[in-house]
Amino acid sequence: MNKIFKKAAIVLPLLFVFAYASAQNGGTKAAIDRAALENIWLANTENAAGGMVDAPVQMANAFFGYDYTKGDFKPVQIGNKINTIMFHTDGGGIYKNVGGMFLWGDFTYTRDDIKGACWNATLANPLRDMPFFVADENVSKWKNQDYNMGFKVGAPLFRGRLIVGLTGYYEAAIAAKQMDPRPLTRVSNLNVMPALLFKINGKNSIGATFHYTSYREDGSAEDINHLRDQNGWEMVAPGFFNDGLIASFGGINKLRNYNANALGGSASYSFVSDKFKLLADGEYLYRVEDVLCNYTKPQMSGTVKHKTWSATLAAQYNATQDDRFFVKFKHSNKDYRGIEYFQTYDNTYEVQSYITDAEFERSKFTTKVEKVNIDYLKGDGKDAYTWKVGVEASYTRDGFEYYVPASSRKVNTLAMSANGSFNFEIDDVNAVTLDANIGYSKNKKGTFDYNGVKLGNKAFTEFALVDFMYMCSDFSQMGFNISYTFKGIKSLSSLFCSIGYQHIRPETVEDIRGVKDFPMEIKEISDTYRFFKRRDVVSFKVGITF
Amino acid sequence: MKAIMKKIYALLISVVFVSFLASSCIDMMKDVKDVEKIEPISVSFKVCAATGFIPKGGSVTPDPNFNTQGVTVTFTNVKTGQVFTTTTNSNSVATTDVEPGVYSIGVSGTATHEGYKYFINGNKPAVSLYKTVTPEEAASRDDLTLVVRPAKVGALCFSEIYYCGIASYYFRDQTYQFYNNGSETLYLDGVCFAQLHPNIATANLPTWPDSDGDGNYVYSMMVWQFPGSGTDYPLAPGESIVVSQEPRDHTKNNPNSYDNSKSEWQTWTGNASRYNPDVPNLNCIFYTSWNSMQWLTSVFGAAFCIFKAPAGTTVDADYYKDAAHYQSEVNKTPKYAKIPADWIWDGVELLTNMNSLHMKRIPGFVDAGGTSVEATYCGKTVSRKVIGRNANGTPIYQDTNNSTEDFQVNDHPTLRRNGELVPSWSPSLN
Repeated sequence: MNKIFKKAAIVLPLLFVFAYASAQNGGTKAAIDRAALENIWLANTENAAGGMVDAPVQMANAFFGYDYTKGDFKPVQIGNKINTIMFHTDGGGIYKNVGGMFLWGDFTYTRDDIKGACWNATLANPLRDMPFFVADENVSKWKNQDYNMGFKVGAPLFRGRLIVGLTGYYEAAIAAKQMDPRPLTRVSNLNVMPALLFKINGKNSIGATFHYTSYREDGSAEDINHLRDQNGWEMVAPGFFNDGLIASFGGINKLRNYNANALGGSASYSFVSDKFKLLADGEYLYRVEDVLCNYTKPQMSGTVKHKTWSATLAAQYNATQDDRFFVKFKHSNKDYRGIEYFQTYDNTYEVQSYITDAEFERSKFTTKVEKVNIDYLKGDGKDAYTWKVGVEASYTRDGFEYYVPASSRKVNTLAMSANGSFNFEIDDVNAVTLDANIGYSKNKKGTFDYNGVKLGNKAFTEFALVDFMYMCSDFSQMGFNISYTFKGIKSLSSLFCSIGYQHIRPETVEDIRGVKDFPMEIKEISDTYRFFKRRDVVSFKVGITF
Repeated sequence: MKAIMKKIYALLISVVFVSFLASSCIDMMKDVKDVEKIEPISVSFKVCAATGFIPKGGSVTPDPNFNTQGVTVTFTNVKTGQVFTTTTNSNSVATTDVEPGVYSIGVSGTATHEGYKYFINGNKPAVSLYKTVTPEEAASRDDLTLVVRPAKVGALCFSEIYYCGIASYYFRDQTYQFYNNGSETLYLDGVCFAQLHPNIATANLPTWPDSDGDGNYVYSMMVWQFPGSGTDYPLAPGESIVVSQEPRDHTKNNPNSYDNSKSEWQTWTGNASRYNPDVPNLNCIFYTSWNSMQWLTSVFGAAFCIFKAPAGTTVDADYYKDAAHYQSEVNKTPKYAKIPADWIWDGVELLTNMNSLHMKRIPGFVDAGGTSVEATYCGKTVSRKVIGRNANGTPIYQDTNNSTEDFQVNDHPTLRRNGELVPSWSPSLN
């Protein structure tokens, strides 16, 4: 089944791309960047019908990429070194030869060779807000592959008012840990988002999107070397777990089978005129994810009840044809609860299975983010820009609470960044685009009041605590990207290659080493502190726009 | 017309598919809609001692001769390992504050009756505690009562067991050491050494017929018996004996192993290439299935007991030919020796690892806990903790019928590691 999806994932977006290649007249990296800012529906909602309002020019690109990421300033479960190779293509626009429909498709393949990851023996993506998983202490390599395809379709206007749209994403991933205990984790993630858009008049529109997600993930932390059992942790929350052995027989449950469904939707309003664009969007998603830890005798590891809502206000003001301002404010609120089960094995002959005696909500995770973006773009008189600048500020409040024994963690962070891009048209066929960014993140609050019984356990001192330190660290970052575009190949719009570099430097190293100065309320902690040095990312891309 | 029908079919299929997805999705969401938040609770448990036959699932009449006041009750959270300890009050009820969870509840204490000292040990391996239970409620409900079977304190005990083998996959050096931890000479003649069923700790425990009641027997897949006519094999206080799967200097086969050639007995099953003519054989009086290669017990950890029939009952191979003395699991055919609970002198529950404590396979009166070397083929052993010394320097071992407390893990097997004496009749002295 996965093979079929993988083939479909490759073929479908390419159909869009080739259909597009024969129909349009060109685009550059700067044009793609600009379109991402100006297509107000496509940039801020999942409403595919909004593509008919944005009416983007036909544009497509395809590139091969390589990223090299190195450094210790990262969540514990993420690798110290990551080599990523990538192929991405996306493209679309309004197609007159199919009745003026909006069509868009994308496909991304990534392969990550990860080194130096630990405290995860289950999840393909350990940062995906899932507290129930199996962890281990071995520093290991992972080899992950991810196939991601998506499409958006917006039907032509019906009776001058109504537009029907459909967005779909399918992701198939496989993640293989390279050291015992080693799972071979498979992921299947389907998102379907039918949408409606009603044009009140020429300038005002309202839209609605329905969102359904079906997510499956499955992996079992097996020991290939049966002679050596491994230490394992059945995590239920940061600092809360059942520790034991991952053994060929007995021990903790190695399997984790995730089954999630989500329902939600969004409502949007837009005002679009020559001078001014405004979009307001409110989105809500309710997701429930069951986690099984035994197939043959079904046993629950837990359930996560996930509520996400967000409100977005985005505006674009065109002072002149080439002077364009963009403002965006977004509040997002993520709230998920960990439900734990009390199950005992009923050994009576007729039953012989785990019986759920009780289930309780036991943990609460919240993340609230307010983010503001302000951008200015100086157009080049065509579809790209000469230069653009932008600033971003965000305030994040991250909270975790474990009810019994009562424990909590709170981390508030203020982050600011600025970016600038310059597009130099050297001549008719050669262009260079320079991007640069600088940012600073300041921790405003960091407390971890841990009252669990495993204070001295590695899963607390080397995992939960180190992650907390990472979250509390102030850091600065800077980066640049140089992109060269060649437009002299007849059959293609342009060929581009780019090199980028991003450097992140934490600035509270001394604070982290000096526990007394560190803002936390831990009563007793072990001396396995770690301090962070840096994180660097170098990226290369070569591709075409057409 | 065909085109319309096609569209209708496509629409119907779409509606059914979407309905299916939506209904399973909505059911999943409904299931967790009103889940309550967890809160700390206070729980009470009643402990009573019962003797005689205990019917399965029926009410138990406590034996008034055994006072269970002051018995220690330990609630161990099987997920977190957190332990809450309390003692029973004058109503034999133990109360403590716990966090909700699944608990292994252990009871330990002693009582004296008719001149004998008895262990009041018991265990409920997996109990969900999620609501407050008042002492009154506990006293009136059978399901909140822990029935303990008093067990005589036996002097003969397991002092060390080496079961896990050593790399790479070497298991022929499995060794069992027995010790007289009492103050009087006892006789090994007729004493039995049994491997209990199931061979590996599991949540999926056997289901025995209701006629056997609850906790009145343990069941064995292999019973070995020490030879002798009554007084042939005395074991004085401080003396120990060694029984091995294959007594020999195993370092010649595997340099990581050790020398257990000075064993008193071997458990030979007929493999001529695995026979040591210098060491006598134990008599096998019962087996569920015979392995003529060797008597290999689980390297993950089996369970064992030492027992002896009371005077007047002769236990031998003929005894176990009587259908009344063996049993099969419900709807299964393999036969297991029935060992009455009050015949047992000592027992040890060896676990794959300590996470498997809630998978205990033998009743708490045999062993209220469990012990483990936590790995296979690691060359480690479990041995009893020394809590004192006799006048002659021999050890006094801890024996509370709770191997979680009584045993320690050692890096290597050793014969008579704490200065135990060798009995004068031992062939190893020759």
